[in-house]
Amino acid sequence: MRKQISQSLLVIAGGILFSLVFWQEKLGINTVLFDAFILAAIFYLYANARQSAVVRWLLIGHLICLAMIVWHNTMLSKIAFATTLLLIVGFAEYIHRSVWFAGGSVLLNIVFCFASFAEQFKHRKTGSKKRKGLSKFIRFAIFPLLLLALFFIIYLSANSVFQVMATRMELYVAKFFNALFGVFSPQRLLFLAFGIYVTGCLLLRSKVNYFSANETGRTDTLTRTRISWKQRTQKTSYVFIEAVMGRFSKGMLALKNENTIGIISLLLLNVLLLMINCIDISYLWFDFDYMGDVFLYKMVHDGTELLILSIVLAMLVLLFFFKGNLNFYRRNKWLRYGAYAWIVQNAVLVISVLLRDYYYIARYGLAYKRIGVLFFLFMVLIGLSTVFFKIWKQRTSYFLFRINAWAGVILLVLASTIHWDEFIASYNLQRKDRVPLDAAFLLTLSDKTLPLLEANLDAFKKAQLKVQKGSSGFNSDSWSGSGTRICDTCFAEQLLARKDLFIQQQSHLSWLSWNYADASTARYFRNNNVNHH
Amino acid sequence: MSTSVTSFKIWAITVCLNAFLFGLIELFLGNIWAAMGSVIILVVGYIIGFPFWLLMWLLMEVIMAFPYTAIGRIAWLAGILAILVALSYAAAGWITTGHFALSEPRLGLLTGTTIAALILALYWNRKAFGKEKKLSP
Repeated sequence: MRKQISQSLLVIAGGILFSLVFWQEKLGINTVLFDAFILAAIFYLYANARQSAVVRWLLIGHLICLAMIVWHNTMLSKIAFATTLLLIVGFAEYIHRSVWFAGGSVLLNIVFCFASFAEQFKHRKTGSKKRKGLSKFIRFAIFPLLLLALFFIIYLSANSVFQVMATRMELYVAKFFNALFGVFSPQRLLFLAFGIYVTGCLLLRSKVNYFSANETGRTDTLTRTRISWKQRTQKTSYVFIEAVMGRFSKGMLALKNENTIGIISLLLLNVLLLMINCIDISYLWFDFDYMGDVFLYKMVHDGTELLILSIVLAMLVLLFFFKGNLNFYRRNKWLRYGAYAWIVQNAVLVISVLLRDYYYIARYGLAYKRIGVLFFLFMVLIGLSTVFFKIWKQRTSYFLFRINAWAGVILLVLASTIHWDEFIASYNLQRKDRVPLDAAFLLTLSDKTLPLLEANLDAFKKAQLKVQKGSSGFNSDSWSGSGTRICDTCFAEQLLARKDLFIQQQSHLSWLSWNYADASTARYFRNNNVNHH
Repeated sequence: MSTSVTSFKIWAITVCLNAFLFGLIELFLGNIWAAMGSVIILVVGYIIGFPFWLLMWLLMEVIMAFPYTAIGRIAWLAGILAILVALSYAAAGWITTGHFALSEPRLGLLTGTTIAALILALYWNRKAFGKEKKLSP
């Protein structure tokens, strides 16, 4: 009972804090205040979570992300912060080992938040007498109030003195409500309700523990299960096997036939991939002239996406063959060797894709997608090595997805420690003599890069001249934040407009939005207060 | 009482109460002609709002399958439906005026009265939410 009361009080207090620190502010130091409250509340309400090693590790990752919000204030750090906070909620409030299942439980928290919040107010037996009295009062008041309203309107039309009095009274009431809504505007109240909802999702455990119960029966190690023929035919995978193998999928030799098909498939796939890898090694790996324009764009863009798809498909193929009892088949030696060779060859393919990406970066500079490919390839390498481990040590798909999800979380936290916008801008601007300057892209980067961009204003002017030589440059217009119209190719003007917009936005924010990235940019503009207009 | 009948009752009461509340508030504000609009709201509400009954029925089926008490179920339905009501009015305003129209006083009032009517209708039928629906025999 006491815990229920404290839960509801904590949710309401969290909502009020949320509306106080985030109203018309951006994420900054206010996030630390709200996060401290939420973490303290979670560890108070779910005391067992303090003993959990997973929660402790997640807490370290979360605090790193929190520090990155205050330091870098990038979108990635905000995503990583939200992800780790939700995972802490999932692991603290439920029993989980896998990120996927914990994520599912958090989703249930979000879906059933209204119900969980209302449940806090159920067993208040002491207030039942009072509530009965209130209910009686409401029921007794409805009819008299309706009568009062009707006669009020009639007298209002019939008596002019009463009308003047009523108008005066209405003015006072209107003044009162105007003053009230000045402080508590409807938008502010909605924001408060949103804050209560967010806090409720984080603090209130849903009564539906579907994912927690589902995960309890899952293990890392694959065990041989003898299932009846009827059970086997009811599986989804069997429908596919039957469609491919026909009558060979039935009978005593079904497993042997499946093994033979697996060996033939992997043999053919290995031969095909060997050819692709040989071409890539001879053509791409050594003495490749990436500065010449030989289909580089097509090769990287078309090639990278398709090759990544092929690697993911390759992992799915292996998961299909090693999904069940084929792992325990005595004569699966060649199937396993085929799988290992397939994994190694795919790892070689990853290196080829990596080289494609590297050449593209060296030729055209850094961009989000090119960095994204690097991270994706890293995840693919982890995926391949865990597939290898799964086959070698006979592990379940649950294990595979669990480990890969944790690798993803770790990578997300580590990636959030770098200000990628600043990194991209400095990399591209340092190589502006060798790499074509994509001024339009650089101008979309976050405010932290503004000092760096302004220091290279001449490069933007040059890029502007170069582009405008080719076209009139004033065909299309774009709005700058300050409201003046600037042409799409007027890069220098756009940069100065962004600077003005930044200064304007900063003037509307309080200390609650403070973060190092904005503070250092603002300080730069204060110290170099040169008007370029 | 089955969920289909209960959800129909809630839906019908909501439409009625919505028209009544809207008319009453407009009357208090002195807009007699706008108050007459409550009759239109009543008729149009029953015609256009019909799919809401089916949605309400579906949502009620869902929440009755989960282990919550009556107050939890009512709050969940009220919350989800209130969001849907606000989104529906916002979409209608977007289509007719081309901008986010909930800030427009009359549409904002209508949104408020619909949500209030919905909550009252749910509270009115609170006894129907007490029993847990068993999915399997």
